Amino acid sequence: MKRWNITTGLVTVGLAVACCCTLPQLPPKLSVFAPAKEPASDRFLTPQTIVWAWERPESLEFLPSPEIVVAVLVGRLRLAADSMTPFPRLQPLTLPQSTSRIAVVRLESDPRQRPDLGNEQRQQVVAAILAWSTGLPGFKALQIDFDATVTERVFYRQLLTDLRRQLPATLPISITALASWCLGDVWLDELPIDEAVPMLFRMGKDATLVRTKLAAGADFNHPLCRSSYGISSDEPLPTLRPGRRLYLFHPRAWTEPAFTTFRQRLPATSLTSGV
Amino acid sequence: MAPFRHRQGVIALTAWLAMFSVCMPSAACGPYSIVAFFWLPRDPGPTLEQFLAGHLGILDHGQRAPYLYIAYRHLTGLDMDADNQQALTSLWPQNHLASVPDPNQAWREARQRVPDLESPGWISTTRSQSVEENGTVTHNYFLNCLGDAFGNAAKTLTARIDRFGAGSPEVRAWVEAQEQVFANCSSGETIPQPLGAEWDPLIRWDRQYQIAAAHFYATHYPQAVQRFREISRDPDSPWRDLAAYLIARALIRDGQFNAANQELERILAAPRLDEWHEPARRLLAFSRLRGAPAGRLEELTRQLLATRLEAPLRQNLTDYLWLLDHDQGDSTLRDWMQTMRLLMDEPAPAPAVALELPVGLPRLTAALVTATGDTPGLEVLLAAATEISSDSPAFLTTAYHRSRLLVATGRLEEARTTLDWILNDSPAELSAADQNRLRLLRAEITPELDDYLRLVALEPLGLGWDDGSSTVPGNPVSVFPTYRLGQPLIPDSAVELLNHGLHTTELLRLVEGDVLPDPWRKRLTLATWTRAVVIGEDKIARAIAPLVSTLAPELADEMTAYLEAGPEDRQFAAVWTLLRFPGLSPVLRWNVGRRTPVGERDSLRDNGWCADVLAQHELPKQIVRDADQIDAVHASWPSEGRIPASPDYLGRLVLSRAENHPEDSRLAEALHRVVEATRYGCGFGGYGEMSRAAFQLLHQRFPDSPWAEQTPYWFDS
Repeated sequence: MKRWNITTGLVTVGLAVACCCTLPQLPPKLSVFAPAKEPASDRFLTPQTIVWAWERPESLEFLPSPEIVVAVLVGRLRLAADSMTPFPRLQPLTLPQSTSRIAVVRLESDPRQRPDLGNEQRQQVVAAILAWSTGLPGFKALQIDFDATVTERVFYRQLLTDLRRQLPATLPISITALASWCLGDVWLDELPIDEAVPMLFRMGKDATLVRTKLAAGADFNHPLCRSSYGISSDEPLPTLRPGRRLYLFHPRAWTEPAFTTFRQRLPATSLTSGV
Repeated sequence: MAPFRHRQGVIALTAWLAMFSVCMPSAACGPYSIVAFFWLPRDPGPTLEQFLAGHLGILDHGQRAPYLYIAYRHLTGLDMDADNQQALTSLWPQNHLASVPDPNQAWREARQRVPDLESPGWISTTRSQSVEENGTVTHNYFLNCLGDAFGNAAKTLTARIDRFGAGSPEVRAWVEAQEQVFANCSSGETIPQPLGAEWDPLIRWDRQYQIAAAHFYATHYPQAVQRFREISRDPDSPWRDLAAYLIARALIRDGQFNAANQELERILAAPRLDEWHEPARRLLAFSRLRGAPAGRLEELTRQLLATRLEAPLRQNLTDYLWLLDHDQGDSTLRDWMQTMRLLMDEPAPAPAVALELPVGLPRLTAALVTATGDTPGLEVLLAAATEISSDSPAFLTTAYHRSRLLVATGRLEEARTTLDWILNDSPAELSAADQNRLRLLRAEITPELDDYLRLVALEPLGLGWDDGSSTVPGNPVSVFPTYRLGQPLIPDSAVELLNHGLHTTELLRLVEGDVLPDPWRKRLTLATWTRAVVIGEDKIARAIAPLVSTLAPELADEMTAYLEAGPEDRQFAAVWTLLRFPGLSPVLRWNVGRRTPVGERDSLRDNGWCADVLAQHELPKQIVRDADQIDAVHASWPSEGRIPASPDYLGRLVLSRAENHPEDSRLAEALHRVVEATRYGCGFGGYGEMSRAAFQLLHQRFPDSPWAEQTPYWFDS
C-alpha cells in the first residue's frame, strides 16, 4: 500500500483543485515576506508595535506616533442560527493625528445557537465588516478576530475570500490565530491573508505547552504565523523572536503608565520602529 | 427617516448600554474553556429581590453601580418600599448577554416585497465624527439610526404598498428615497430630491419628511430643525406631530439644549400632542442631563436619597449613574460608590480614603472592603466590625472582610472561629454565592486535608465561558454531557493539590473514603488508577481497580481483564484500557473536566496526557502542607514526573508487545489506536516517528484487517 501522510494528501488535493480552476481568480497574494507587484502598505510589512484599542473608551494621545500603530476594534458580530447581531463600536477613541490604524472586527459564534454559516449570513458579515472598517478614517489594514472551530473553517475561508475580492488589493488582511493553528495545523494554507497573529495569551489549557515549546526554541510551523505575536500586559511574556510585529493587548483602557510599563518589558530587539 | 415615536426606546437602550457596559472587554483568544462560577465578582450573592429588600450579602470591590446605590440606601437606613423595589427590578435585563436584534432585519423583509429592485445591502447604524485638536484626533462613534427607525420605515413601506401597490412608481420612489436616507446612517451626505406637484400628496409629504430625516442623519442639524419645523406647521402633513418632537431631537444632537428644552416644554403644554407627552418628558430629562449636568446631579442626588422615592426611579438612577461616570459633582454617595467600585487589581487607594467618608455603615463597609493587612488603623476597623449585629444589612460584609483581614494578619484561630460561626450558627441567611466565598476562605486556613477537601467541594452558580466578556454565566450544559448542574466542583487550587501534592497512597485513601463527593470521587479514582499504572505502582493500581469498576461501569470489563491478567500481561492489559478510553489521564482536569465521555475521543485533542504532566509544579496558595512531604511525593515519581506523552508512552508499549507477543489478537486494533493517539493526542504533534512506526507495523503485519483499512495515514506535526 502506498504510503501516505496527511501532508501529501493535502498537497495532492490542492493541486487537483488548482487544476480544476473552479476557484475565482484572486488578486496576487500579498506576502509579508516577498514583495508583491503592488506591495501592501509599507507600514504593515515592517516589524512594528501595534496597540489594540478594544471595546472601551481609549485615549491614546500619549502614543509616540507614527511609530506605534493602533488596531481599533470597530465592532463585533455575533452569529447565531441564521442571524447576525452587530455590536458596533460606540466608545470614543483619541489618537495622535499621524497614527496609522488597523480596523479590527471580531466574530463570535453563539455556543447556544450554532450559526447556520450559509451564504446569506456570510454576505451580511462581509457587508458589516466593509461598512465598519471603511468608517475608520484612513485605516491601512483589516484584521479579523475569529476563533473558528473546525466546522466553521469553510465559512471563514469563504468569508476571507469574499473580503479579499472586495477590498483593494494593496490592503493587507490579517487574522488572529490560535496557537494551535500555528503549531500543528495546515488549514492556514488555504487562506487569502497576509498575516496570522499567534495569540499568546488566554491560551487556556494549551498555555503551558505553547510557552514551553517557544522557550525551547521552537517556532511556529506556519510561515504566516512567523511575522508577529499577540501578547497581553497581564500575562508573563513568552519567548519572543526579534524582528516580529508585536500586537499589545491590555485588559483595561490603556494609560500612559500601563503602556510604558508594558513596553519596558518587551525585548529591546522587538521595538524596531516601522518608520 | 421613518416615524420615530418613542424616545423611550433610545433612552432605555442607551441606559442599558451605559449601565451595563461594565462587562470586561472581550479578549481575542480561544477556544474558550468552560468555567464554573462559584460567585459573581460584580454581582452580589443574594437574588435581586432579596438584595432590593436589604439582604445585601457580601459586598466587595468592583460590584456594579446599581447594586451599590441600593446597598447605600439600606446602609443609611433608607429602605425601599415594594413599589420602588419593583421599579428597579426592571433595570436588570434577564440576560446580560441578551442580544439586540439586527435592526436591518425588519427593513430588509419589508423591502423585499418591492419587485425589481436590487437586494438591500446591510446598513451600518453607527456614524463617527472626528474632532481634531492639538495634534490629536478623537473619533466619536454614536448610534445614528436607531432600531425604531428601521422598524417604522418597514411599517410605513407596508402601508404605502397597501395603498399604491408594491410595483407602483409611488412605492419605488418612496423606497429609493428611504435608501438615500439610510445611506447617511454611517457616513456621507445623501439627500433625496423634492417631488413635483404631479405626485400624490401623501408621497410628497413623505418626501419632505425623508429629506428632513436625511439631513438629520447626515448631521446637518440646523437644516433638519428648519425642515422639521416646516413640517410641524403644515396642518395636512401626516408627519406634523412627530416633526414637532424631532425638532427637539435635532437641537439636542446639535448641542442646543436650552432651545431643545423650550421645544419640549411647548409639546408638554399642547393638549393636541398628548401622545407625545411621555416621550417629550423623557427627552427633556435627557436634555437637562446633558445640558446642565451639575444642576441635574444635585436634583437627582436629592431625589435618590429621599426617604420617599419618586418616579421615574429607574430613569433617575440611570441618569445619576451616567453623571457619576462622567465625573460630575461631589457627594457622599458618589465618594462611597467610587471607593467601592475600585477593581481588585487597581492600585490600592490611599489608606484613609474610605475613612474620609462620614461615620456610619457606608464608611465602615468601604474601609473594610478596601483594607489590607497593612492598612493603618486596622485594629479599629476590626473592632468596629465586631459591633455589627447579625440583623444589620452590613453584617455579612463586615464579618467576611473582618475574617479575611484576620487571615491576612495571621490570626488564623480567630478567623476559623468566626467563619465557623458564620457558616454554621449565625442567624444570617447565606446565599449560595456567599456560602461559597466563606467556605473557600475557611478552606484556606484548614490544616486537615479531609476537612479542606470537604470545604472546597462547592456547588457552582452556573457555568460560563472564560472569554472574559461577561461575568454573568449562561448555562451551556447542553454542550457538556459529562457534567450536570448541581454537582459540586472544586476550585483549581484544590485540583492542583490533588495532582501535584499527594502521594498515590493518599489518593487511594481519599477515594476509598467518603471525603470527596461525586463526580470528583469518580474522576480522582480514574486518575489515580492511571497514574499508578503509568508510574509503575502496580500494587496501588490493582488495589484501586475494583473501585474503578464500581464507579465507572463502562470500564468494568477492562478492569476485570486487568486484574485477571498475569504479571507478564498485566501492563498490556492496562495499556489496552488506556487506548480504548482516551479520556483517562494521570491528572485531574480543572473545572467541569473533559467535555467528552471517557471512552470517546475528544476532537479538541483533550485525550490522554501531555509529556511531563506530573512534573513538579509550584503549588498555589492553599492549606499549609509540609514542604518535605511534597518533595517526597515528587521523588516517588519516575524521573521526577517526567513521563512521556500518552501517544509515545502507549506507542512504545504496543510496539514492544508486538515484538514480544506477536500472537496477541489485540495488536491490530492497538496499533490503529496508537496512530489515532498521535493525531489526537495532547499538544501539537511531534509524534511523527511513533505514528509512522505504528502505521508501518499495522500495514505490514495486518494488511487485510479492518484496522488497517481504517488507518490510511500516519501523522506528523
